[in-house]
Amino acid sequence: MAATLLRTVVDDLIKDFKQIIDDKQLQKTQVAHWVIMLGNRLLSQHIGKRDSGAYLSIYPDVPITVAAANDAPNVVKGRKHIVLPTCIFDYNMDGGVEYISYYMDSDCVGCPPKFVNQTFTRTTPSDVQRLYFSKYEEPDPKNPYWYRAGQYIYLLGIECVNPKAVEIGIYSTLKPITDPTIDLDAPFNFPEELLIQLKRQVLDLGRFVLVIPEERTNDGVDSDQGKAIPANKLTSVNELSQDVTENK
Amino acid sequence: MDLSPHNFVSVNEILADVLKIVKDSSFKLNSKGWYTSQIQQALEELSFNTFFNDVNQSFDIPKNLRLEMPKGAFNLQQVYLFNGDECNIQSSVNVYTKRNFINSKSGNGYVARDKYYNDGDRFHTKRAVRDTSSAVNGLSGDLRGPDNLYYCGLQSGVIMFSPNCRNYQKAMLVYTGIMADIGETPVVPQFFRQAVKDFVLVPALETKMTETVGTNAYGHWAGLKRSYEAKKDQPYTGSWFTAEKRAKNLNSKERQDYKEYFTRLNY
Repeated sequence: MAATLLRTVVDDLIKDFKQIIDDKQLQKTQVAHWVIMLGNRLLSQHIGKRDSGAYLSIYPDVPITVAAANDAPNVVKGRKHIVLPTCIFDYNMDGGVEYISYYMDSDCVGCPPKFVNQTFTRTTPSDVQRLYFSKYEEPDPKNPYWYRAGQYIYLLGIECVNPKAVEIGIYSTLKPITDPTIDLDAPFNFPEELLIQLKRQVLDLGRFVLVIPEERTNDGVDSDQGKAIPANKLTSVNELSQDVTENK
Repeated sequence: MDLSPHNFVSVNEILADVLKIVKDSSFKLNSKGWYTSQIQQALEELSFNTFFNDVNQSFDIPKNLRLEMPKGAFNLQQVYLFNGDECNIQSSVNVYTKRNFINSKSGNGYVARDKYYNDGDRFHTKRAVRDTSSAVNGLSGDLRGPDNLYYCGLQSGVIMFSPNCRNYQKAMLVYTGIMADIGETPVVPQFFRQAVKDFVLVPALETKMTETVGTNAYGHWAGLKRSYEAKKDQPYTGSWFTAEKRAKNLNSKERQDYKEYFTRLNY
């Protein structure tokens, strides 16, 4: 499936910047960082608005581990947990995790797919107490729960069984520019219909960033007399999120 | 309850409908255990309201003549004593309820307002029989209650048997049972399906409302909840009323037989 490359987006933006402000030094990494930064914002809004699997990332074999010692914060000795494979969007009620499921190895014929075998339900450490008030809700291998603490997902109810791994479906953020595996020539995992919005927002951000230093130059003069007043209107963050043509 | 044991609906069948309406197919709002608990509560309520689930169970006669009603039992209907076992009942008698009957913790002796031998009681007459076996030297025997009358009292879920119940090995209790007691996996009789579904939907939608308080979605869920509440509780046509009516109309054979007995008048 052909998709726009990250390099295409970045090069396009650099070309546009050069046409407006040709005397500035613009690093490709800097523009890529802007693209990723604003791309994450648009992508999180896009996912939040739509019931779609387009940006769901499935990791079928995330190993379950048990920490041998406490390591504050968030690592608690003796509790089964997994480490999130990537950064995820921090939606309400840990909505960045679409599902977590586990299965025990078995040669079951005609059974549902393995990933629907035992699905974990989300909870929080403070809510767990209530679960034990009800026989139906208390965590057990057939009714397992998870809660999140930072990059760790703790698993409840599987203390007496020993699955080696879980399957997890998450909504990942775009890889940061510091990620060693980032590839400018890889398809840019971003909604095509929002590329115009992204370009617009990066151009606005770039213009803002490139204009500011001129206004703030320290030339040793203690008076603002004779200084040029910026003629360009800087758009607000709220206006940026709207695709309004008169937003100038 | 005359319903084929094959006509029951599983928890998953109910959930398949409920989860779609509350948009919680991924159990993000409530766990499957929570929904199962609501289904159990629905059956519990239907059991209490309709008495549709008749159950019988046999027990050894306890040494102290005090038998606790089994878990999940209410509305004691019959008590029988029998010898043998469930596969081979050799002899049996009916056990009558005796008002105000409380036996001792060991089963030896009891108190009651009327003890048959009511010496000096101006309201309860002496109705005891002579125990001829205890007659000595031509003197008449002791006074006591009739041997062939077996009785029991019931207090705080404990059935207390009269001393002569020791003549039998086992007691059979017939009672109304809660369809699925707490902790058991509920199975729903097919004719209760709609009622159980609506019963579960109401609290499920309430949790949705709690979750969306202060948002635009609140009104949607509140409206939906009102709609299902009305669907459930509508007089005469609501799913809950229909379920109760169905439970009471069941057992056609029993009803027809009774009708025949009552109308033939020995002719």
